Amino acid sequence: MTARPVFWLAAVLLATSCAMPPRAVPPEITAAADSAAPTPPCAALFPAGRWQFVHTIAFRTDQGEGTALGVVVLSQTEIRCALMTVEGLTLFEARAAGEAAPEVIRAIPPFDRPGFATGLMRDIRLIFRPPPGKAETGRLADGGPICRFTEADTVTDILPRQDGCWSIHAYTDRTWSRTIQARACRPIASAAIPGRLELTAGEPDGYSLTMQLVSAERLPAGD
Amino acid sequence: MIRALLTLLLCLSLLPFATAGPGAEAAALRSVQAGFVQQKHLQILTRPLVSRGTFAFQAPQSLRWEYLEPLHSILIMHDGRVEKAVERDGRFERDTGSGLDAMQVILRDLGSWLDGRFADNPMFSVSRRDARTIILAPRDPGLETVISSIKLRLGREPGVMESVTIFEGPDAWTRLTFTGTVVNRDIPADIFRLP
Repeated sequence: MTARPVFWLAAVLLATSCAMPPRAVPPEITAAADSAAPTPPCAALFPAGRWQFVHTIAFRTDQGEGTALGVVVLSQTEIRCALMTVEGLTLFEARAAGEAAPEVIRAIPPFDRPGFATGLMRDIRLIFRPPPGKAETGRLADGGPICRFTEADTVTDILPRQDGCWSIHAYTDRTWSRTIQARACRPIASAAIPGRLELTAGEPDGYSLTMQLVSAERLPAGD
Repeated sequence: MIRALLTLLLCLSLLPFATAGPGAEAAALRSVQAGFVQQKHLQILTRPLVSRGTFAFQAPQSLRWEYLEPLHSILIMHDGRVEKAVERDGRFERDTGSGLDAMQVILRDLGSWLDGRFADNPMFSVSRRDARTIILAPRDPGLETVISSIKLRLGREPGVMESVTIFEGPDAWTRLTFTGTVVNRDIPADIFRLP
């Protein structure tokens, strides 16, 4: 546990505006899906029920890099999360019901700054929850399948791959905001769980998170 | 706050050596090696998060504190320097932006820890619950918001610490349990170098 990595971890996750130059607007969906079903198999890519995930998180920015441990506990109605130092000290702990603003349980500076909890929960939702909004499925120009979720000015594309993993690209106001690459997916308790998640965000200065799965545990039913 | 936090963490890493008790017995403590299991308990965790590692200490001021899992990381304090490396994608990378100066400050306290003079460290008030249980409470209100108390459980033999429990709050605590403690065995010098 060191001061500067903690600062940068907070700094990169605090990002809220001033996006990096956009990579692209959402690509055209050139062909409709074969089935009238709205989203499968995309919704099935996200873990359903109650889960506890533990990851090591390596973060990088132009100004610094560091490592932390992250815990995410999912239920049907709530997300709980915590960040810890490798040495086990709790840096941040919060929970959020549905799409509600997160309730911070514990936050030591600089993780107590406004916007951090919201930004962190936004990233967690993008990784672990099916996106909200109107869903359509189809194919891109290269023939690859796509599930697109549109809500207000936000577009979230999910691109399933043949290896059982996927990519997620999120856009706001037709400007790219972040990408998640899921890799090394393997079945755990009948869900395809990525062994590695790479998140690249285009907010101030840009940042990247590489999350290596430590454990994924399906929890008994009940909140 | 972060500085206080770093200070505390380093104190904790040194605690296993601070059990020899005052006087000649403590002065004879030349080295300590042990394994540890770290159990992190949090309100949100259905099961504790378990980390495992080893440490080696050699008087007067050399320390290797190594986590083997879930994340392989090594902290070295030697010759007045403090360095840390984390394994990423199969190779160790130096943790360069680490603010390690705070850790070096703590090294100056090592002597008193080794002598079992817990009360010498101004960061904590010290009380004994029984012959083998020491409670450290932070004096600094800022630090108290991070750590509410620390419980040391001493082993039956000199130089051996059974466990350290760090209480962050009512539902958040971390317990380090030490195993296989070896006292006063020679340690190769390269142990105190980063890979």
